[in-house]
Amino acid sequence: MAKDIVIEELSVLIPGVDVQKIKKQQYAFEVTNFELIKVLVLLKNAGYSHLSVMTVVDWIKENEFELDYLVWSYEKKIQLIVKTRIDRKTAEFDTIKNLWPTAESYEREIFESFGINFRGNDNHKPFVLEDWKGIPPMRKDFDIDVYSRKKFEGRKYE
Amino acid sequence: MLETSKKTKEYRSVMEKIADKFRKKSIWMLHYCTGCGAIELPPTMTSRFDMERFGMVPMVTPRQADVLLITGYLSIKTLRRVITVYEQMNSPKYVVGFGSCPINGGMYWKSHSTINQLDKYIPVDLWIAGCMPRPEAVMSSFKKLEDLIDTGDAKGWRDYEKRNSWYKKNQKEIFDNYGVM
Repeated sequence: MAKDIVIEELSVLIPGVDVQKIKKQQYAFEVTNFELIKVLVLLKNAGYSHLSVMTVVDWIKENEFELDYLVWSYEKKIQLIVKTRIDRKTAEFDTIKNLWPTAESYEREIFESFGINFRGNDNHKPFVLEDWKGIPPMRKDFDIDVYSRKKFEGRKYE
Repeated sequence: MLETSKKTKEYRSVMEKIADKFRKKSIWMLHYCTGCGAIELPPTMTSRFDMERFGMVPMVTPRQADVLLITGYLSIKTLRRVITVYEQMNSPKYVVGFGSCPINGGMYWKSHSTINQLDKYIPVDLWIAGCMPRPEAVMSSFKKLEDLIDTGDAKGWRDYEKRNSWYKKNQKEIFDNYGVM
């Protein structure tokens, strides 16, 4: 079987990385916390110049958050998902708003909906929620059912 | 279509009864869309169903509009704007709850950001059930609203003046800094 050209390129760029092919134009790999910003800088210089989206997965059983950075290359037409896991208790990570200014809004939304604080990004203005108190609503341990029944009383039928 | 339970008749002077006869023939609808039900309004407005034959036209400012349609689900963020808009409208003003979401939450009843009953916060004159109601249902509800205005049963705006403290109490339960946009 012929070797995949994207995987080969990435293994030259980032030695010892385990890249998985998800579909034709999408690849994913995981890096450690310390490597992440270095890897993103390398990828940005290698042509992956567009940060499509930045998102979070809450792995409550493993007590971890997974940060996903989706970067896109206009020349290669390839999307990469760079993953890293952080501790759920401390919930802190470094900002990447110096690399991509658009990341500031993503980090602001993640702070609001998951409570992850990005060091270096102090933009904590309310984004989508209105007058929110309590734990952030997108965390897995937030009980929507209890909250909704308490706050928005259901209609009582005769 | 369900009507809100208002049994008692309000006293109306002769002049008001005559005025209501004219009011029902030119209902201007505020062009304000809150949810997915707004997509049913373009076919209602345009040539196929053509609501202008009932004297209904969309109006862009709340101060010149008569009826406020709550089209679909209503989040807390939108509710604050809806209340502001509703209070800007001149009396007599009418509210139509559109679709199942304003009635009991609909498919979004279990959500951290959408309200479950609209008539706790602003008075509603007429409900249209369905997810979503077809333009036929919208047209038939407009005819029903005309009848309610004619008989003096669409009196939610009087209720809002009379029981204002109750509505304000419910609104303040949801909003922290009430009155600040």
